[in-house]
Amino acid sequence: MRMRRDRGGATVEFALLSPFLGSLIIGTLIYGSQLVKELELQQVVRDTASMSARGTNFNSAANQSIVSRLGQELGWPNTGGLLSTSTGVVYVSTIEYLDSTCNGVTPVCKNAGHWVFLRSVAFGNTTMRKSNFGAPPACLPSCLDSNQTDGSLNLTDSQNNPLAVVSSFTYLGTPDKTVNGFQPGQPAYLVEAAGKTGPWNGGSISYAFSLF
Amino acid sequence: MRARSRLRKRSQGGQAIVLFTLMVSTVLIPITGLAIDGGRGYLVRLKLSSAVDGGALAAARLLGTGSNATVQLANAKATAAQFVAANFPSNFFGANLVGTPYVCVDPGTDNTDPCNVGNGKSVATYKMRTVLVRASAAMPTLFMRILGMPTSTVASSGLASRRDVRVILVMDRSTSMQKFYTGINQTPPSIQDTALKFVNGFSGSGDLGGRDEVGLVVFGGSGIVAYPPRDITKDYTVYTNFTPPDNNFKLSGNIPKYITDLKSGSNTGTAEALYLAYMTLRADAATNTDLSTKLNVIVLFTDGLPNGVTAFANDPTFLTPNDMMNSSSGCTDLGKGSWATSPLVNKAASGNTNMIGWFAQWDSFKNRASAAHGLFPPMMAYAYTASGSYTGKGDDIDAYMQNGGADSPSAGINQMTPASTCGSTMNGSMASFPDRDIYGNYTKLGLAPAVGGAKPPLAPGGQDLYTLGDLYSNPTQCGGSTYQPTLTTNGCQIGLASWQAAAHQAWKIWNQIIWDKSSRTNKVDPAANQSQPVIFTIGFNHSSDGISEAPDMKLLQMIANDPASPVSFSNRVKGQAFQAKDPNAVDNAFSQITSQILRLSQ
Repeated sequence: MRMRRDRGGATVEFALLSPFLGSLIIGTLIYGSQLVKELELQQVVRDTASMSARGTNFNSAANQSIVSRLGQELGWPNTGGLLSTSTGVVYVSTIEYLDSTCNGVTPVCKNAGHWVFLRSVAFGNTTMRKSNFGAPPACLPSCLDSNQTDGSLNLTDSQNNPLAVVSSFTYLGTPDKTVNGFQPGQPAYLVEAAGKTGPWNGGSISYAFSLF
Repeated sequence: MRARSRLRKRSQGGQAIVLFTLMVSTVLIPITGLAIDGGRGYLVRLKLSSAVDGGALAAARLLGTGSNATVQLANAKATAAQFVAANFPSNFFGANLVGTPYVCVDPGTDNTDPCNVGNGKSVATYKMRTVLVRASAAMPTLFMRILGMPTSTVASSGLASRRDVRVILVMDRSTSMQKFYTGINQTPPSIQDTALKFVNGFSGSGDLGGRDEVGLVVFGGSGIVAYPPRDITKDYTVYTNFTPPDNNFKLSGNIPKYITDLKSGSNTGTAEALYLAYMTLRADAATNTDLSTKLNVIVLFTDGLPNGVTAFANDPTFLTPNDMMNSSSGCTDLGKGSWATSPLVNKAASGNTNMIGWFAQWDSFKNRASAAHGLFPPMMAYAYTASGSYTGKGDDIDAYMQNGGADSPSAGINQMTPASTCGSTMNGSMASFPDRDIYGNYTKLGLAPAVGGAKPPLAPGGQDLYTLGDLYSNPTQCGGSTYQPTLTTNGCQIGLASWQAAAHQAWKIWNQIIWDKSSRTNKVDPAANQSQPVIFTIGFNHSSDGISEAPDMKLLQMIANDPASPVSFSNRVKGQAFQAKDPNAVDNAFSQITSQILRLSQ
């Protein structure tokens, strides 16, 4: 009798403890898994921005495929690059600031005083997560410079089309030729990416960006 | 005894809970907390690392911003700090930047290490422009505060550096460029605007670092080294006669002036232009021990197909004299050539006139049996001076820039055009066209001898290399009519000769082979210091306007040894060929090349 009671006691104790222990283990696993994916997403935007700033053309399928391979922990395809059905999206843009003189263009262009897109490429599941800055530009594809292969906008559209204006970009302040620092007319390379970082499909979507 | 045993058993009941509770508070929560806080810290560190990388790279890329070294330094520091802050939003996983980032710029003027990038160890900082960015962020902990660690501080540093570069910009000023050479400060930008912006991106005298060197070659049917200014009295078929570029290229009377005054005219002599660029690039290879520490780059901008080649038609050293023009052609003042009477004198001169000049193809690569060719004055090797337009010694560079027709028919000799002095063209035989140009570039590439055991590649299957190009890959690509290699009066043959000479010169550059005039052979560069140049090409394709034919992108890929090239010219680091269809795209291509130079020079 006593033996049976002792055995039952251990079972009861385990039963009492297991919810706490189980949730601790499962919670740690979920958090760890999400953390790994967050890290991967950060790494993807960092590497993509670094390549973009060094002249890589992300309108090329081969280079898009490299980005996809970088995000394998996020469930991105190992071959063929991100698709519209994939669990990720990447926005690669080049932007510049047009000062009140439109950086010296005469007559002064309509987008003077705004950040504008010079180049923008989006690949992957663009419906999954929108860009924080309006990439790709709302005027695409009509403002795409078809004479180029890297997602460049027509210069006149960058300067005058209101749909080529970058939205809500405040990270570099208002560049001013009379103030030291980033200057009007200089290119900045902006990369945004989103991927599913939750533990299961349908889980949470994380977002990251880098500016080089 | 039994009672004690019962007591012990009873006391053991619940021990697991007690032990577990103790373990939770002393082991499990701290370990889990360490994992969670550590993971957060790792994520914050990665973000911070990305931020400092972004700051360092942006500052390094824009290091030339400002009118002088002091302003450039201030701009670099401010830009780096801006990019760090932009990349590290406040409250990122609860973390915030601590203070302002530390930014150090080493212009590389000596071997000291002011930014301590070597961490006390000896590193090469001389002739390297370096930007170091360090930042730290404080992150409140979630669990570790229980153990008395309310915040965790993470730090990271980013480094971007760039070697000194020597760049030779090669600009095509052929007639088809007329509507794009409209001066500077144009909207949309002229090609001059884009080229000048590219040049000004390098660090010249007075700039931070200030040790980049840029040269300029401008070419039509014949080209010149505009900067450093060529000395017209020198024989530039001798490789030791060239002058290296310097860091004064930005001064207002130098490259900016020449690019501003540039006018279009003439043909496209790509082979000579590449030769001039390479010889200028390696001009001091024998003595300059810094040459191999620099990144040496040739950037070729062209909007068309090669259709001019500078050659010595009746070179007496050819095993089989070509006799392109002899008495039977009716051109009685044209001799069979003599090196002794160089440089070239014009057709009015008596005696044994040399047949050195650039051969032109006309009529847009159409088959023409007449009026398809001409021989015109060269601008560099054996430069033509008889017209009085040029005085030599370099002071005529701007005159060349302003006169698009400097090397065109009106400027001088024109022995080979029918209805001129001669009764017929070139003795009626293109088959006797010189095997090589005046710089040792073979116009029939299959005849090029091996140098150091290496020969230019053939197309797969052993066909001639030109069959891989866009123009001659099938028999209908010579202006839309049938290309007939056996038709000796076919104007396309000069184009084909020019194409092959350009390909040969590019292959020689990638393999560091030079033309030795004294022995009349190509040989491996004997200089102690090798330049190992990288070539980038921009093919400006505005053929839709009907003014120019499309550039041969396959040829440009070969010249650049682009990874997409159908053949490889070298196993060295690859260049890249860009196609651009409007001035905006040309600007973009120059910008991409600047970025590539930053990548390659690290």
